[in-house]
Amino acid sequence: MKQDHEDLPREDPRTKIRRALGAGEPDPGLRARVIGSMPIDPGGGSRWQWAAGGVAVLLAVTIVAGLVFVRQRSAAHSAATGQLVGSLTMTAQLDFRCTLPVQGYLSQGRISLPDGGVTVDQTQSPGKGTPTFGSVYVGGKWLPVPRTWLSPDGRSYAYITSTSGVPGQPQTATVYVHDIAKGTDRKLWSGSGSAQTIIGWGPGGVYFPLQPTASGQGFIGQEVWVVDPANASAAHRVGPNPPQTAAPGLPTVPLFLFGTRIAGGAAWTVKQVISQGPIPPGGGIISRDPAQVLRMDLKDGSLSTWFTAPDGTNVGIAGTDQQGHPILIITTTPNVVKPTQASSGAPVTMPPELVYPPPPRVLLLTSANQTVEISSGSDATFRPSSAFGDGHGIWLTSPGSLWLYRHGSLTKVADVPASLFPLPTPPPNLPTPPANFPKPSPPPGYPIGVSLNVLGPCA
Amino acid sequence: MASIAAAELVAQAKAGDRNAFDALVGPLIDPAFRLAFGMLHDREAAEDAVQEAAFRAWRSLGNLRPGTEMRPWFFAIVANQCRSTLRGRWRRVLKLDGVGTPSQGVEDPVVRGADLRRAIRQLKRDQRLALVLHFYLDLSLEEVAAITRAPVGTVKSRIHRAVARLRPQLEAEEVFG
Repeated sequence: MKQDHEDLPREDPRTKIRRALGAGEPDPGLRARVIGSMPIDPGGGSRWQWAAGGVAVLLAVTIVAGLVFVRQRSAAHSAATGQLVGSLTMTAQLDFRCTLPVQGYLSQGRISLPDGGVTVDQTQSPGKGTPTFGSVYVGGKWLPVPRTWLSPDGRSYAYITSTSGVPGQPQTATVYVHDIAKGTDRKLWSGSGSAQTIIGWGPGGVYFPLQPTASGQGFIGQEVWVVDPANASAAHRVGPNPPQTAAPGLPTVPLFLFGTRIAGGAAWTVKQVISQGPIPPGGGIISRDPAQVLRMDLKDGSLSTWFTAPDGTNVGIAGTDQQGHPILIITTTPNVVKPTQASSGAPVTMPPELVYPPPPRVLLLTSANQTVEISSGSDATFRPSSAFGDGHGIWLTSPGSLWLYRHGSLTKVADVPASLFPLPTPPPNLPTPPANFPKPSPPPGYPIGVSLNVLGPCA
Repeated sequence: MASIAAAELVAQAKAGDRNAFDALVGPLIDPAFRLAFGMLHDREAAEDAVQEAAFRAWRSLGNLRPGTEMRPWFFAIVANQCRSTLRGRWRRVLKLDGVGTPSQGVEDPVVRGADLRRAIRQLKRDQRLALVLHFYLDLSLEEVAAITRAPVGTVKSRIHRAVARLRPQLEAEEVFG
């Protein structure tokens, strides 16, 4: 034996340390799980950081729960039995009755309209543990899956797994459909490749991004595929899933992944604003390609640009209306870069317009380059963070308030008392902003309060 | 060199754009896992640390100064999270796993690797972090200094002392070669 070792090539310390530290290769799905668990909290990151973190924990565990849900469905599918905690302060009279499922911080519940009664079903404690509720409310139950996984009829949801396989063999992606009423899972399709999430349900069935060659590197869904639950053998490639434009040194991510909406026979995404080059010394005006709203026709995979953000703005898709039109939020993105780097501990002055940008415009994209204005951005109190279209109109939320766009008019429906959706206890070791990083005061009318997330139609 | 593109991705991520966050932090997830694994020696704990670090990064975006390099910033969060983990309940488990008598005179490379691993675990935390960042993640001394918020000279010193403590398992003279 000793002779064998003497024949081995001499190893350097780096190699020895690496070998000693051992199999530190991450799970191929780790990136998707981590990134997918981040909360969508437009404009609130700096103000409610730890609350967002808590929500992130919630979303993380709910998504993970989707993968292991088959083992927990009996408990997770139990009917919601919440507690009436109070009422919204109604500011408009509604001529219909319905119940709106919402999430506020770590609480999920239902708002009874038109009276505004709030029933909180459960409040998740920040931290680790098995989730007890999810992000979809359907049939009187909360399901621990993202809404995009739910079938249009609300009777089932899809989920996807991707195995790492064995060395030298390709990864395998498998799409399942879970029947909510029966509690059964059905394997729809399995094939070579890597896929970490469901894009959503559309006219052809379940759409998902797939990386057929499964190299484990680069972005994770180079193609868009679909599988029809009624004819799983007809699974096929819809089209390419091209990468976002990326700056030098940054990796690419596919256009149709997180945040993609499927509505109106199409998948919708935003091609992000990306500018190249270093920050000009001392600041200056920069040029960049505008952000665009892209539409993928789900019949043939063809791509087309339906909206181009005006100069100095960015665009996001907040949701879709019942007809499948994207709801766009147009935010101001200054294209003048100012020097902000601190030097030797000197105070950094943040331009107020960066910390508190003007209220966004809200548009309904009705056809290519055709929009209907929902909000002009002139109301300082309206900074929408969530939108959901249903038969009553488009529900929008702003910090501390609930709004409804209906019959061509935007109306504040109610104020949301913060006490109904209390902030969770901050975790220990909460990072605090550095002392030399002062924040300017908010402008007059800047809304504060809980930003509800509308989780489904008012039914 | 931070770019306008990165600055804009930060702004987009702050605005809730998950793709932007993925573009910023996504490529760092795998090396962050290796960093956490190198510090914690436990896959589950390492994944938890990366997950928690990503949350912290997400909610700290609002305080991220323009021009900040993402990799050292995020790795510093991961390193802090590992530190918290080691302070917590995992510490007992890891320490129990880490104690033991090095195998004396054993020629089997696998066993010698175990001895080295055990020795790495017993390094001071700052030394272990510098070692993992420099040798396991192939980061430059300058970048290790940025992550650990220590001068480059201090980083060199920590690595040198770490290697010195691992001398029974390593040929220290090759380290900076």
